[in-house]
Amino acid sequence: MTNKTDTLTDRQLVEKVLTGDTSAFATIIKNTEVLVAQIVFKMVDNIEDRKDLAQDIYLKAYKNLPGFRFGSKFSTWIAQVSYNTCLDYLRKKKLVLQDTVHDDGDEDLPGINNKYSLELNVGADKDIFRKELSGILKTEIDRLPVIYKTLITLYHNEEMSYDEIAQITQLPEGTLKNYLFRARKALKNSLLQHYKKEDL
Amino acid sequence: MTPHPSEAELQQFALERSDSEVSVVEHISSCEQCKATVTIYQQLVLSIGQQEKPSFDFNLAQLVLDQIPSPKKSYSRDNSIFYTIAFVVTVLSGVIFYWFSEFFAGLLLSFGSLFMYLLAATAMAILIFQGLDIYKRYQHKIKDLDFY
Repeated sequence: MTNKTDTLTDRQLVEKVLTGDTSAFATIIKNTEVLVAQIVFKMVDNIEDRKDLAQDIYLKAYKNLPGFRFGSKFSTWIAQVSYNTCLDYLRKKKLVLQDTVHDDGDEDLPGINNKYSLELNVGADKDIFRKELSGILKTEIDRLPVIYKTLITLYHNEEMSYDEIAQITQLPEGTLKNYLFRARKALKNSLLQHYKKEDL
Repeated sequence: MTPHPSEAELQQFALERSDSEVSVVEHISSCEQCKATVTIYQQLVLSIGQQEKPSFDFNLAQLVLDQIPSPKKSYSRDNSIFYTIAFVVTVLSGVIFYWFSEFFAGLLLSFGSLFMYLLAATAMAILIFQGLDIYKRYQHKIKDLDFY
């Protein structure tokens, strides 16, 4: 059964919330909680803290909703509130947003590229390989510094534009592209290291 | 053969081939090592895009709504009973004043000027209090507009 607020646009939902309709706010939460979860899960490791932060994010959003003027997409605004809330949490806990990535030079891995490529293209069971790759990648993404894994998730998994991510994180576009480049390179090198170790 | 493109150029090619320079495209098409690196990046990006999205294992909407104070009931819209009563009262008042107009005129004249001054002072006091109330509500709304 569909709720009467399920088919409304973001603007209509916000207007309804501002007139006191809390069911519209429940719809807003349902529409945006996947994006919020992406940010919270990437920035915060502690499960209990994630629960508190998720509630805190929406309570902040509810409080600041009268000030939202649709200068950006509503999802971008919610993501910005989520990012800032998690950032405050990290600062309070004295946790680091950007740590150094161990950058293995590509020249350290002679001959690996070609072999890896061969496995990708003519491997006997591509599905098994893809599942394996997905699992390894999940672990390797989790090992990245917080800012890298957040950016790479927003860009490649949530398919947000540079402009939207820049609004969320308040990072200059050049810095953003640089971080994404480094994150992809670190992941590529980790994958190559992983397959190299398996070969040994 | 031209020198190998930089890592950034290889990533660029893997993400959006059309944005790459012709020299880079030509090199990659004839270099197995660079082609392999590009394939890894393409596979990597594809796999990140297909990663399962996390979700909260609790009813977030319910938890949040439980903490939001219940809104004051709004009587401003869809309140046909209120409007009907207001209409009936207005019509009745009009009819009463029309029928007893001479009586009310006589009553006002008999009270004299002191009563009129009292009436004007009361009206002024009510207006001032309402003005202050509007100003307080305005300030409260402006405070709500503060982002973060």
